[in-house]
Amino acid sequence: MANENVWIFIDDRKEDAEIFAEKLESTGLIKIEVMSPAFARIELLQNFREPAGVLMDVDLSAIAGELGTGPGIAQDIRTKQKARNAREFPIIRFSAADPTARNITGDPSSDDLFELKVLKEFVKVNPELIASQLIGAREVYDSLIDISTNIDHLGDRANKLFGVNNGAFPTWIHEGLLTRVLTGATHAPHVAANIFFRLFLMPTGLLIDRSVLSVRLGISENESGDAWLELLTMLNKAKYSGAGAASFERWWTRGVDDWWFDTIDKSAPLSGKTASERVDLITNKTGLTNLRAIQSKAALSDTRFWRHCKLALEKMPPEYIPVDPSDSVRIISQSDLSSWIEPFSASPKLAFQNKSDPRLNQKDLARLRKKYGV
Amino acid sequence: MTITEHYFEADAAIIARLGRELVAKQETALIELVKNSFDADATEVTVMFMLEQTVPTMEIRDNGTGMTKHDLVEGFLRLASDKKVSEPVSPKYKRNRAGRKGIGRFSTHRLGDRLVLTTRNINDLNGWRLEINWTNFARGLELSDVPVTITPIEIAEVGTVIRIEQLFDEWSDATIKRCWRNVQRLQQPFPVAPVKANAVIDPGFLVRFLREDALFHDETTVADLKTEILDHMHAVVEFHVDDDGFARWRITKNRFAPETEWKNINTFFPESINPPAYKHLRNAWMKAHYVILLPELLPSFVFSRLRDELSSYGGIRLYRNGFRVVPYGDQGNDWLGLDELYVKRTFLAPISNRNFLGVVEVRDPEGRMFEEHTSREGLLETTAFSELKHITSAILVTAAGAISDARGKKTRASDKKPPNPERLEKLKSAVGHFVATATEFSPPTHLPSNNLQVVSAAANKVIELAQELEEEIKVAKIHLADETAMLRLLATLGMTTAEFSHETGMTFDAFRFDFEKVFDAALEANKGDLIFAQRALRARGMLSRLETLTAYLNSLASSRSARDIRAVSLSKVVEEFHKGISLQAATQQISIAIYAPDYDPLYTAPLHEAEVASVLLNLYTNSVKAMKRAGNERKIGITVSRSDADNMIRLIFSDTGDGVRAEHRERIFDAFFTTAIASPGSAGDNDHSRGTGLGLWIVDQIVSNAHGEISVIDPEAGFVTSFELLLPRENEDG
Repeated sequence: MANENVWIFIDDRKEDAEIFAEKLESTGLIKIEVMSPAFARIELLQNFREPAGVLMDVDLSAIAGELGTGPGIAQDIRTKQKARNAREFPIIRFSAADPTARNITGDPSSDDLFELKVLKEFVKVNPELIASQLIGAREVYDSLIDISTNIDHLGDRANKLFGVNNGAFPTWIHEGLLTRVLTGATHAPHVAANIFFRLFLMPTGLLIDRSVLSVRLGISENESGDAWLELLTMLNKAKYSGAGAASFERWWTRGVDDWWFDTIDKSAPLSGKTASERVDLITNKTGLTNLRAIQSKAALSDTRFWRHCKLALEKMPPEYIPVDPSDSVRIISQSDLSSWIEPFSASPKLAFQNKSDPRLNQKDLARLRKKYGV
Repeated sequence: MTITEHYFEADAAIIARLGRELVAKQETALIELVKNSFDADATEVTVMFMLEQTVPTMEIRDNGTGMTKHDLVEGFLRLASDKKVSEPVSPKYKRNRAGRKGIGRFSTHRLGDRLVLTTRNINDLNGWRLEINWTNFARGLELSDVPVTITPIEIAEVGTVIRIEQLFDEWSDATIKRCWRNVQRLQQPFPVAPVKANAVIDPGFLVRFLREDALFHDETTVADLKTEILDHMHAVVEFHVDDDGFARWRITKNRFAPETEWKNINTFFPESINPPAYKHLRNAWMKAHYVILLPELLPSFVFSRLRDELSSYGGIRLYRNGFRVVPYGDQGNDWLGLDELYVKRTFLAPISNRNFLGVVEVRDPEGRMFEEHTSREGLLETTAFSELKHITSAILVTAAGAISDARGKKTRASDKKPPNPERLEKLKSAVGHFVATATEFSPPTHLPSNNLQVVSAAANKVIELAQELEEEIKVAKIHLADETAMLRLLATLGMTTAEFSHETGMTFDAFRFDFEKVFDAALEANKGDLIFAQRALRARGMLSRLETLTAYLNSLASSRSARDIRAVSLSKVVEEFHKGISLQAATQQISIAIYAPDYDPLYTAPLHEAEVASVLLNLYTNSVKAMKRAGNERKIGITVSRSDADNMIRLIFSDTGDGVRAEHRERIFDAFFTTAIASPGSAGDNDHSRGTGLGLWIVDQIVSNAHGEISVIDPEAGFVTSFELLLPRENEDG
């Protein structure tokens, strides 16, 4: 447990940073202290402070004489933490879209320094969610610090960390992930925490968030109203309950599959049905007649929706466009994805409009251009 | 003790004291005499210098009301009498007297030893000649003992001629010019208000300076406003505000375009088709001569003279009831904001005080609209004066833009041909021919005459072609210089925008958070105040629209889209434009609909994505103005499609504005062409970046550089105006 319930926000623009901090503090969930990079180095690297976590800006060049960067300071902290010369806390990359694109995008070398990456622009969209996720990050850290300092009853502790019972554990989680987290914990809590966030809690893979769940079930959240909320209660068994669960609303992918086979359709997997077929089946089995299926805007689109278009998610504010993997263009990730992580896709329309994006799979692109005659 | 009475007596030498010492400078003395002519209701004054004669002489001839014998005796010869005090206004044109009280007669003494004044009053059949020999007023004599003579004479013309002989001073050309300039500054340099409108209206006051040439007995104009300056200027800009406050304006004598008809105007309603009257301003006129000070546009002997004259004398002077109001139009006084605009370079047409020589005249005999400061330096800032400044400045800026547009059109018309490779080839061929001919007949010293002619003809051809090319290069240079200046400005704006876009975005977000807190607190404090609640709601809505628009503009300015040249998806650009602008459009009650294919991205040949967005923004701005003028339901439709026949991508931008007149269909893409009235010189940069006639020019430049086309086409169904933009389709085979 951190001895201070305060997050330190390292930024080069004090005035702007204070306003962002106030906005996040106004949620009533967290406290934030703005700090200049130079002062933060002293405070954190010399162990004078033990914050709940650190929010780190990327570009610090607004301060005269400041030659360092946010990732640079983060790396210094991580090195000290690894050597047990600094206290353990989460570091969240917190910067605006433009400097992030300029300094980071396309270069994954600083990815594993940060548990979460938050764009400042998102503060105006949902400050409560950000504050809540910071609390969740701290909670994960506390669990991992506990594991790394005490390896007794590791199995139970791991079950508690991931929030699965012994029965479900082998099928819902991936052994590779488990091994990496636990091994990481033996080195340092932040090593495990980083794996936990980057490979488990944040990406679509073993877990899915509410928006992906709706896509998987083919349900339009906006049009289904209370029926959708009622359906969610029926999926409680598949809901993630591990570290940070209060802050990160997630469902186990395999848990949802199990629910589908057990409750809705034993004969065919969810992914094999179109959105309207899925909704029809769910309606029949649950009696929730007000559920509405996601409709495609374009007549030719396939509707076995499974994920969101990544290019649309990258917009600010993000747009949620469901895509059918067979009717989408794969996006090649800058870093290798673990086998349990869902690959990324782009909708045909956005892929066509952004064809020069080097991440797009050119074979898929060519195939779909042929299909749509463009 | 006997009390005795005594009387002042005047020594004749007092005349010398008053004449030679009261007026220090020869120019001042001459100017005072010219002022006397003005006070006598003269409309023309000629100052003649006959300096080559045995007796150097000067004459000041005017066509004023002249003097009676009584005027001469009781006015001119009686010291300290001053008709100007008792009659401050001239009889015919009601001019406020300009001459300093009683100084005129002594000025003649300041200038020379002998005065011969001949005059005929307007009511007399004959005239009078007054002769004074100032040397007779010697020390020791009683003033009353020195006689002067008045002789009746026959004079054909009404008016006065003052002839001063035995001039004391050297009158160089420079001195004469200096005098002339001072006189110009004093009086309206040319008539502005129509003379015939009212018999009492002052037709103005023309002063000419002539120097008699002793050798040829020819009078050569030494300095004349009309021949030296006005005849060489490129256009005349005028406006008139009538007795009811309705204004109209026109451009005449435009070297680069036909004259324009009088057009109604109210510069506070620049888009209005039927502009309302000014609220306070009445009876004002302006006539301003405009020149573009470029050596290539003026005869070489005129350019430097004009430049020098206008650098100290250029500007717009203000005359109230026929008299100059200082300091408006003085050197360094920028009451219309023209120099300010020039320095900022946000408006690219040549405009500064030195581009104008003009007069604004206001008639306000009863002082209802304008009131002078007690110091007689400037007018109080009344609402009428503010309106006067607004209309004057806005019209000058608009006119400068229109004239530049016309000039650009001219240079562009002849610029269609160059660079002309054919002509260059001809020149090369002619040079080759010349060399061959010369070689054939070598050695040149022994050329027979007919062969010499052949060589000479070949050489002449070369020279002729070279000269033609030189001319073309000159024209191309002018065009290029204009474009370079514009592009420099636009590039600066673009770079500045890009540089600070990130700062703006983050600061905007930070500001938003504080703003919301302040509003929440204010709402809490004003609970139950419905009007305040409505205002808060409105402010929040506006902030939200501003945010969307800022985000869109910032994304355009981001380095990636600004610098990369690549195939551009027109459907994507149009969708993003719609997303970025529709909230702002809604505030103007404008609906925007886009029609794009479901999947076809419509890729153009490589260009800057931000440039395509700039095209859309410019067309949008144009449409908004047109729709405001028209008063129709405000709709914009953007259709993007493929034009397979000609391998192009098509964008049709339609609106329900007031349309584009047939005669403007091609010209609207010229630089500086605008149908809108510009903002006054002192207005903000934003105001000047709108309505300057550069928007559609930029569109045309972008499209042309991309080897595309833009034109006004017959409107799409449901719209009034449609622009069709064709861009080459991407060639995926390279």
